[in-house]
Parts: sequence; C-alpha cells; structure tokens
Amino acid sequence: MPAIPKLVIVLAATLAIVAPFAVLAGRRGGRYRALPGWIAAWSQFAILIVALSRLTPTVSFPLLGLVMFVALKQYFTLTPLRPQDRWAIFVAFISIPLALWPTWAGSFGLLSAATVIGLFLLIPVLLSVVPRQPGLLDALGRVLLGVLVFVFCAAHFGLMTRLPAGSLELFGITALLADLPQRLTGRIRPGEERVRPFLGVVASVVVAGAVCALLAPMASTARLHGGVAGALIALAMAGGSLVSDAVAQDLLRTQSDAVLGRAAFLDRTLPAIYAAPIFYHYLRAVAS
Amino acid sequence: MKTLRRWLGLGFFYAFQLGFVRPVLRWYWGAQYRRRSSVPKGPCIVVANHNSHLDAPLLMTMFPIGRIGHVHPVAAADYFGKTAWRRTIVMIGMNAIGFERTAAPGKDVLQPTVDALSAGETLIFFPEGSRGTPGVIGAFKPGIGKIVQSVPGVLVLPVFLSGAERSLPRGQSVPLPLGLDVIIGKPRTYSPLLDARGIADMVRADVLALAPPAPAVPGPRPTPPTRVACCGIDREANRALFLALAGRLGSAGRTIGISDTVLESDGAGLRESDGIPLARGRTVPKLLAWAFRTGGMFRGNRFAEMVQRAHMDEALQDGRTARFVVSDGSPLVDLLAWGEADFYSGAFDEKGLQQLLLFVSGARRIPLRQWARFLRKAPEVWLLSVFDLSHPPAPDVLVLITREPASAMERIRSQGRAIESWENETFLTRLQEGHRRVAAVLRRRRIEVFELDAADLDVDRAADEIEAACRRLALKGAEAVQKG
Repeated sequence: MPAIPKLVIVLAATLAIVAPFAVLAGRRGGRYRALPGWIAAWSQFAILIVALSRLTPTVSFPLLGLVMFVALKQYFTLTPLRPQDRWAIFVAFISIPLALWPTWAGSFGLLSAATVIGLFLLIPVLLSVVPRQPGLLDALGRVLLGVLVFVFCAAHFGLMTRLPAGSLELFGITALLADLPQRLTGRIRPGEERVRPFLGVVASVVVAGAVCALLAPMASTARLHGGVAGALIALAMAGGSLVSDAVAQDLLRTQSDAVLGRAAFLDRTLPAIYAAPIFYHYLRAVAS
Repeated sequence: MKTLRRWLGLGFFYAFQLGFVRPVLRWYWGAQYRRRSSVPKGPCIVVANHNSHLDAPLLMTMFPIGRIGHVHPVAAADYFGKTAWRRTIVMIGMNAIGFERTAAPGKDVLQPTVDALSAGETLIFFPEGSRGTPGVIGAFKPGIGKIVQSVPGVLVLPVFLSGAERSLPRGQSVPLPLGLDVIIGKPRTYSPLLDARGIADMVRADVLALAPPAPAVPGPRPTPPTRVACCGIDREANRALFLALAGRLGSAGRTIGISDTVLESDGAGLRESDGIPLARGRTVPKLLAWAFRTGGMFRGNRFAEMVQRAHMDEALQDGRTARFVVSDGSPLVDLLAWGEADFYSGAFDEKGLQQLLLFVSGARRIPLRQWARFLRKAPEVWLLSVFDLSHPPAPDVLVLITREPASAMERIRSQGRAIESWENETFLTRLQEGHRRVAAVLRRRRIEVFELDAADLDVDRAADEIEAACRRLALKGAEAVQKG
C-alpha cells in the first residue's frame, strides 16, 4: 500500500481540527453564521487539490475542467448579461478547455496567449458586434471578471501540478488557515473603515506566513520563501474577498431571494482562486 | 401491434426522461428547486410562466420518477405536431397531451385536458399560451379558468421558473449552461363559481407572488423611486392625503401606493395593482410575533403585515417598477415612533433613537448584551434585527399629520370599532411626540419633513406642495444617477 504523503495528512488534519470549531462557531450566528458552509466548501476544495496533486492528469484535469465549468455557470447565473451577449458567454465556456490545454502542457506562455489574445481581445469584439449597445462596458466587465477569475486564475491550479510535489497541498493548508482569521474577525468590506477586519488580515498574514514557512520544506521549498508565499496568499485572499463582496454589493444587495442560495458560492471560492496565480508565480519565479 | 407500439413508446419515454432530460437538467444546468415538498401527491395542474423550451422538462423533473408516467405537459398540437421529430420528442418523449389552439366548430379544445384530470392525471399547463418575450410574464389566457370550472376542486400548483429565459429563450438555438431555479408555491383550489378570466388572473397573481426580484442586468440603472410616507395618529387624515398623493404623482411617473392594498397610478387614474412580486409570505413573521409576544400596534398579524409591507418597499428600491412610492404609514417611522413611545416611554434620548434607527433599518445588529432588554421591552425591533426579517427603508419625504390626542380619540370612538388597549389619550400623546422626535432625527438626515395639522388640513393644497417637493427630489435623484 503506497504511503500517504505527509502534506495530505496535514491537510486532512487541519480540516478535521477546523471543521468542528467552524460548526460550533456557526451556532453563534452573526458573522460566524456562514462558517459551517464555508468549511464544507473547503472540504470539497481539499478533495480537488489532493486529486490534482496525486492523480494522473487524464483524471485530474477533466475534474478541474468540471469544477471550472460549474464555477463559471454559477458566476454567470449570479451576474446576468444583456440578452444579446449570449455568444460572449458561450465563448467564455469554450475557453475552459482552451485554458486547460496549455496547463496540461505546463506552459504559462501558452495559457497567457490563449487567455489574453484569445479571450480578452475576442470577447470585447463579440460584445461590440451586437446592434444595441447600452451597458456595453458593464457587460464587458462582468464577462472579463468571470473569465479572469474562473478560467485564467483557476487554470493555475493545473499549472501548480508542475511545481515540486506537495505544493498544491501546501497552498490548500495555507489558504484555509489564511481565510480563517479573516472570517472570524469579519472581512474587509468595500467602504468600511472598521479596525477589526484589518486586524484579521494582519493575523491572517502572520498565521499563513508561519504555517507556510513551517511546512515549506515538505514541499521542497525554502522556509523563507514559504513564509513570503504564505503572507502573499493571505493578502491575495483579502483582496479576493474584497472583490467578491463588492460584486455581491453591486448585484445582490437587496436581492437575497433572487439568487436562491447561489450567492454563497462567490464568497467561498473567489478568494482562494484569486490567490492561486500569486502563489504559483512566486514559487516559480522567485523560489525556484 | 398497438400494444407493442404502446410499450415501445413507454420505453422511449422513460429512456428519454431518465437518460437525457434529468441528467442534463441536473448536471448541465444545475436545476435547483425551492419548496419541492409542496408538490401534491395526487393529481393537480402545475401552472407556470413560460419563456423557454426548457420549462416543461424542468417541471417534469419536480416529480418523482414513479409519477412521471402520470404527468402530461399540455403542448400546442399545431406547433409540436408539425414534424415527426417534434412529435416523437414532445408527444412521446415528454408524454404530452396535444392541444389545438384554434378550435374547430363545435369542438371543445379543452376536453382532452379535462378528461385527463378526471382520470387522475397531472397536467403541466402554461396559461400564457406561448413563450413570449424573455423575462416578461404575459397575461394568462382564460383557458386555465375554464379547466378549473370543468373540474371543480382540482388542485392548482403555482410555480415560478427563473433562468430558463436566459439559458434558452425563444429564437435561440444554443443552450447556455446558466442556473435554473424552480420556485414552487402552495397548491390551492379556486372557486368554480368565479368567471374564467377572474380565475386566470388569480392564478397569474399566485405565480407572480413567487417571483424573486429580477437580477440587475448591465445597462443604465434606473433611479431609485422617491418615497413619500404619510404618518401620524389620525388614520383617516393619513389615508385621505395618501390617496390624493398617489393619484397626483401618477401623472409624473408610475406610482405605487402601499396601504392595506397595493394601488398603482400612471396618469390613467388610481387602481388596484395586479401585484408586486413578493418572495416571502407572512407565516414566519406571524409565528415569531406570536412566540415572542409582540404587542400593541404590532401585535401578531399586524407585525407580519408590517414586515410584508417593508419587503414590498424594499423590492421597489431597484426603481424598475415605480418612480414614486407613496405609503399610508411607514414601517420604519411607525416602528421608531412606537419604540420611542413604548420602549423609551417618551423619555427622549436622541442617542437611543439614533441607535434604534440603525437597528430597525438593518444598518447595525442589536448587540448580544442588549438582547434581554429588547426582548422584554421591544420584541418587534429585536425580531426584525436578529432574524433579519426586513430592512425597512426611510422615506425621502415624511408627511407627519398631527392632531390633538383628545380629538383623535373622539374620532376613534366615533368609528364604532373596538378600541385597542393602546388607544388612549395618554399613549396617543406619547406616540405623537414619538413621531415628532423621529421626524426631527430624520430631518437631520436630510429627509424632507412636512408637519401638517389635521384640524385645518386642506388636502388639495397640501398635496400640491408635497407633489412639487417629490418632483423636485425625483429630478435631483435622476441627475445624481446620471452623474454616477
């Protein structure tokens, strides 16, 4: 029987420790109310991470593609476009295999070319070709944000399979522990100037930096670089949650019934996906 | 031969439903159902809005596999019977009943549907007739009313479908994988004594009542409506001014009037509105009011009514439905005045009132340490805040009509109705004072306040003045939106 890698055990243990705590805290209500759902989403995310890291690409990449498809579907359900923008949405979905192919080949250059040239330049044309144009820039922002986060950033999970073994699990553990302090203190929200969320980000940077530095040698990375990568993950996740809150505010502020439980998806996935490219490029460009 | 064809058809139907329809709707579109437990176990008519070819398959998936053989969408025979392909997919694969939209002389086109219902089958019916414009719910044709009249006591299940109009609208052939939501209402019967048109209108209102507010699509954002609230202890004066304002503002733009009923006015006079979409019912607030013993003005059902009115007010915030919202009373102002009179017992504490405003409007939650105090003295505010029942918005124009409490009591007595425990001169004095203090707090928040004395109230003159202020505010709001 093959030995279970240490980082997989650490990831499972982290989830096992945080889960009861999150469920109990969720009973207190208020800002802790979302914690049980959040930890459930993280459990699924952990399975994806381990699958990407340990299974062969023929199995793990279609799985990643499926997750990207579901994520993009939820995103476009939450952020409707104009009726005439159907082809732009169609191309956004088609872009998932186009982005996965270069990641399969392990080429960031190709991924950039496919995303930047193929999508960021093609989608504005598709949106502009329709006859009626009120709301063009708004629609463009919606499509490009979806493609940027759920195709371009998410494809970096595929690229991470090319990093030293264990890097994906290291990312998962660090991102989970970076997210926790921000959730406990309440996250930074657009336009709010309260001190507590900022303290949450500071705590998140410290915890993520320390944990990532501690575990980095298991992923063949120097402790120093692990610490910096952890801190970067925490900061990127704070940025991601700020974006997800701003999007939710723009779309759903008074429409809690309109989304029928789909809104939590943005809140749970966007911060971690946002952090993936930063972690990947730091480890690839600086640490190696 | 006939039996063999029947068995082949049945085999194709189950293979199509289980091997294609259900997996595709579940995995490609991610269909989600709300209140699926409301689907009746016996025969019924499922009635829904219709914008897409996905609608009928989506409604079929609401039913357990064991029942789908007894569920029949009613399909237009002239359209779906045109080609062999359509006939196979719709009549066999979807188990549909053909429906002639143009009746032959002497033939009742509804008879097959009536027969099916009488035989204990369930029907899926789209009373709009055809798919229409995406996102627009057209008038319901009286056919549904005629079926209800023909099968007295038949259960009608209202369902609202959301998302299909974007995934596969009329005229499009590429189905986009956007989420589909099926919001199921409560099954009910309609009196067969009503006329068919009336039944169709009631069914439409029931379907519309399930609709969530439409998500914001890109494009110029409409200006939020200008809100006017007529408050004070003299209900009759409030009502008179409310009606005058609702009628007049209609000439400046679509106006919704919220009172015991919902009215609308758009220049063609004041009439009852055919429904503002409301997603939530009164049951939960009513239960909470009963469990936490809300009192006085907000006792039991009245608390639930207040919450529902606040929802309605919130739903109108997006500005797509109305340019002006006039209300007879305001959930926010009335609750604050009640809180001031009851909770603070008239002992003016502006800080307390400001805090109460934040709690009621949902800007801040009641801290845990204050729960016991609120539960004891103002459970209405505690329920709104802790259970997040609604966030009543503040009016842009507050019309406060005052009256001598003694004279107000006289008017209440002259109405001949039962006098409530809180309706006494002392409390009305405190309540009026509470309204004044709330008005002072709102004035500081740049809300325009008109204080009028009911004793010498000239409704027309007052309405003129308030109308001018509303038009000015609406113009200012539109300019602010244009500037971004």
